[in-house]
Amino acid sequence: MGQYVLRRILYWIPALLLLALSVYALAFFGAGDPIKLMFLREEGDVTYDAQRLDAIRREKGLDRPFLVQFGEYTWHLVQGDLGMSVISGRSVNDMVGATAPVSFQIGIATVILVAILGIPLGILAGLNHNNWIDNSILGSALFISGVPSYVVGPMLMVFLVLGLGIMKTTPYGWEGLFSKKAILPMFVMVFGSIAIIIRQTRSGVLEVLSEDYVRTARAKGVPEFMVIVRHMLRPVLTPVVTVLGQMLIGIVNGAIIVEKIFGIPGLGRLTIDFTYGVDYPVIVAITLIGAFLVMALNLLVDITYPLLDPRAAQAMTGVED
Amino acid sequence: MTTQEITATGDIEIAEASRTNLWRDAVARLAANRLAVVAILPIVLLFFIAAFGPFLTPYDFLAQDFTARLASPSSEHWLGTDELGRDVFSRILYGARTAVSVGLVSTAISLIVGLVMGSLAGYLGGRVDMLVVWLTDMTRSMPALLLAIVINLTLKVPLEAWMEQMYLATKNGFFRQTMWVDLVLVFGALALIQWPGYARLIRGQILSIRSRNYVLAARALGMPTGRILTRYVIPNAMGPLIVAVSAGMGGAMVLESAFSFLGVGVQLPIPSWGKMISDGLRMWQTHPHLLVGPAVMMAVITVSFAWLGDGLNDALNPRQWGG
Amino acid sequence: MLSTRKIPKLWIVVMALMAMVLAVSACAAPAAAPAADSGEMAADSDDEMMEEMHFRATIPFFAQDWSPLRGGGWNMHYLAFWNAGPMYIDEHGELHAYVFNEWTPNEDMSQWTFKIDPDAVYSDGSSITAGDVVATWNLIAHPATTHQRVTLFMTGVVGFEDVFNGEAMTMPGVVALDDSTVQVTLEGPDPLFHKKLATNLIGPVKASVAIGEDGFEIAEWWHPKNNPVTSGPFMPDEMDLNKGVVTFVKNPNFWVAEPMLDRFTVTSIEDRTIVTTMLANGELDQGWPPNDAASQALLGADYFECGQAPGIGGFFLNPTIEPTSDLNFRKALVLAVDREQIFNLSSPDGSGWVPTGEPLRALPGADPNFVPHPFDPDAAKEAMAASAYADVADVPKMILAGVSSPGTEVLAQYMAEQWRQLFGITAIEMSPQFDSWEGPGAPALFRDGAGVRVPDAALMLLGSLHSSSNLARNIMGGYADPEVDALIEEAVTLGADDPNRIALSQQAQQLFHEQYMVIPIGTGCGGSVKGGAMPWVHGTRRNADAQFVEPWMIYIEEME
Repeated sequence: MGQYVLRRILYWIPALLLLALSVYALAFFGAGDPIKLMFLREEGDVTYDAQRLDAIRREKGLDRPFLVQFGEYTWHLVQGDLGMSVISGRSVNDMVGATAPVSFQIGIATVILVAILGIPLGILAGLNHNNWIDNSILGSALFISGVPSYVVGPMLMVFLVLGLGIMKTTPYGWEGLFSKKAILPMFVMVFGSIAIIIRQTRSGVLEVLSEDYVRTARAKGVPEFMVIVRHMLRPVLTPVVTVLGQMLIGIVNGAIIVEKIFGIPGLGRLTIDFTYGVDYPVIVAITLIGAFLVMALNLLVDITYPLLDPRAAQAMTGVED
Repeated sequence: MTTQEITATGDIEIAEASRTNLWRDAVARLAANRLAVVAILPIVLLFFIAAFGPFLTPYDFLAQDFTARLASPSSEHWLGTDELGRDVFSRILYGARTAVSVGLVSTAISLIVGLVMGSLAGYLGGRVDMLVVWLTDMTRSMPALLLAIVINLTLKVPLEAWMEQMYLATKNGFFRQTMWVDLVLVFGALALIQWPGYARLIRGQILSIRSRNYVLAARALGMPTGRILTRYVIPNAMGPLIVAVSAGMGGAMVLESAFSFLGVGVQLPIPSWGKMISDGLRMWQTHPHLLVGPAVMMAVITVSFAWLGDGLNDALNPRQWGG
Repeated sequence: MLSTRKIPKLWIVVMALMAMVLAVSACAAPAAAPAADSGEMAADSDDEMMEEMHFRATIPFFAQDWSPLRGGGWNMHYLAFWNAGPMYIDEHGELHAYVFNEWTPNEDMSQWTFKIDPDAVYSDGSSITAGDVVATWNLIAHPATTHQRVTLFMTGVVGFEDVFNGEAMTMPGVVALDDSTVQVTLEGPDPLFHKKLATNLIGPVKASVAIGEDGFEIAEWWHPKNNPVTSGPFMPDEMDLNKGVVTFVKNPNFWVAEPMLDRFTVTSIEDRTIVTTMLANGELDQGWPPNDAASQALLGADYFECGQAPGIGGFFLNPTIEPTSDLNFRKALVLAVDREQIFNLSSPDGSGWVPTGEPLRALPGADPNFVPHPFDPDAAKEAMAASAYADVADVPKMILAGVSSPGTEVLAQYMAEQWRQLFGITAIEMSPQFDSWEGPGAPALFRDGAGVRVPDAALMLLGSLHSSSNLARNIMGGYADPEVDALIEEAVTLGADDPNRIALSQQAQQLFHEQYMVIPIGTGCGGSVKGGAMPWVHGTRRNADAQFVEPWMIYIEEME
């Protein structure tokens, strides 16, 4: 097992480097010129011409061949330095170091809340397959997540602050996870993603209910509560936990809209601006963080899944999602 | 009614049905799911509107009426008019076409890529499997927004320039259909980000079915691979796949609207619900009809796809039938 | 059976608990909020609000770079708060002394001598020296500093071009005669050179703090963590760039007057409807909300009251690519658009002026005989028939670039629909962002504008129609009319009061006008007259440079 893990982790190195290379190349060759965009994005009588842009590129070392620039970037990367932002001239290490924890906090908190609320609701829906409880839980969960967060967010804000006067201050900005300002964004995040967990749990329950061992347990007269806890929870929760993990990665990587609307200083807010500005080092850094998380989660899943589901022990490394 | 009774009766039905016909049984199960049944109507309607929408209203979705700017809903304009005096109802109907195209194009592309990659990984296993898993990891980490911008600049501009050249040379109106370029390139690109989901699904299905007792037994009895495939693997994998496609359709439409909000989307002035929502959001306090129409349509359709997907999941997932 | 009947009840209990947890967590904040804020009108719960005069501004952009040497960006709207310019021009176009208190040209106006106010000091109390001015100007001319507008001020200075293109580090034309005297030598006479310098965008920075030994700007020297030194009425106190919150405090050594505000904060809020909400809720004192019906309803029509500002804005036609290279085609496009409707679409409350497309509008020198292009569909059709594109099938696809805000999206769609109705043109692509001026993907029309800092006709045209301007060079795809150039070049060398200065400018403008180069948009409003400030903020005045004038006079009056 230890060797397997080690081998998997060794595979990460070329994967991350290749990813860095391809994203860097995409941004470098395909997304436009950050120096030109710096001027193009400014309205009014900005002054520049091709010669000036060339001069700026030369000064910033951006006129060198792709491989030289990427080589330099990789050299710094290996030393743990994510480089300097082209647009803002700030250290990407600082930027990511300050924003990633916020994204993680939000991600973890969302996942916990979603699990606390979603799993019991999902089990309840599964046990009441196709009756009104099931329908109302599933129906409303799916309905809530069907409304885009960029509609819910601003509307709730205006309603609560100006319409009803429930909130005295607009929940814009970030004062930590346990501040008043975090409630509304967390609300939008949780209710935007809860349906996935409810559905996953529900279908897991339905699946398990028809398994022989559950039937046997019931036939033996084991109390229903014990059946749920002892026989159902583990097989149901395994895929649910995986989905929760993916949800966490999704939020850490790209809660772009919620972070933009609520002014949360996370990775998502960095992503938009620096992607439009084509700031290679920032884009690559954010991608690498995302890739690292994806790989780490997949490894975790691959290690734990066979332990939890002996049937798939042999080859099963993926999950239905 | 107790849970016990429900499950019990459900089980009996299955036991009888599964012996007769897989699909008839699925339909029966689907019909038992009220949400799914309710959801079918809007989806059928959506496809109908997408096909015939522009013929259903007296207004051109582009025509501007400056005497009736920002008009509230009335018998003349059922859902009012927008800033340029265009009929909102007509635009929503035309937007259905955009939504369906986005859904179909991006789902189809990601499904095809996912199917091929997933089956390769599942069947061949070993190094190929490793490679596919590695590729899905990589693809999932790609920043979608960057990819959309890159595709826009690198593929769209030259392709549209080429189409324009072809048009000027041939005067064939086909080369002016740039909306399709947009759809295929931008949302095709987004589809490329979604294929890992399908690939992993297929791979997981194949792996899990391969190790099931009955498949192992069939194999031990010397049943040829092709027969195992058609007999067990395809029916087993079909259900989750249909579910995923159904969810993917709705997901693609939501994704399109999110990208419209972020400023990457279908060309103006072609209506798209996402764009209409983000425009309506600016004025919802004074002119709510601009937001309500498209937002309700969007919500109804995505919810319908999700409900239908769930119904299909219940109906088509053989593992939930008992077995 | 008995045991199974109990299960749902248990679940109901569990669910009720869940619901309670949710309800408690949802209500905790609103319940706590009124308690914390009770008795306070202003929404900030800080107690210091009462004693301290705190000006809370916002920009709709996630600004990361707060160097005063960039000459652009949203945060530059507030540059006057922490950076003092050589001189400044107020909202009426009057010139005022600031860092420089004396300016004298030589006889032929090709050499200018500037004296630094002996009282002028930085926030650390040290004097602003001529050496700092020279070093700053060399620095901003250099490409490594990426100043976005330096040509507007420094063009014509001996040696500028070399530094501008990165071939030299210093301009021989700018020298420090002594600690408080700067001499600028120009390549030719420029009677208004001193007025061009009257902007905060080229204010001196302390060389020993901002410039490294290699002669380049030190990274993040302006960040409070590096103890920056500034010259304006305020100085940076705290910057959380990841949150997008930047705070300035009173500069104790500001030499002009004691600033009335104690504290000044700029927050980045990308969503403008949220800005409206926060302004209406009293959480912000100043911002740039959209001028739409919703914001007017919440903030009052007064908030958006605007003053006429000089400048030209619109969709500029690219004369270097097909089909807009055809004069008749351009004429057809221009005549097909109703400026009244453009105005109605841009100004929901009807304030402002119908755009005319006259570059000299609202300037001394505006031409009373200027006739804007009429809305004339018949003449437009005639012009189209006379063009090389009489058959609509021959019209190449046109790209409308710069369609980046909801407002311009509406205008672009209006124009496109007019052309579709009148000429049957459908191949129009609207793009917010693009990357190339030439080749495939080059825009046929580009939305942008040019303003003028010095209220002078000749300078306005130099910065907009002359082939060296950005508008001509980039936005109009390399527009270069030798006749227009010659007229402008002659006009700028004439004395400020020479009537010919205006006459030549009007002539150049008329030539340009007859070439159908622009579809004017905009309402002639130079933003809100109050600079987007709420009624309880007093003294917010802005000049044509989009800078706050005399920000040390701004104060806040608590409203009941």
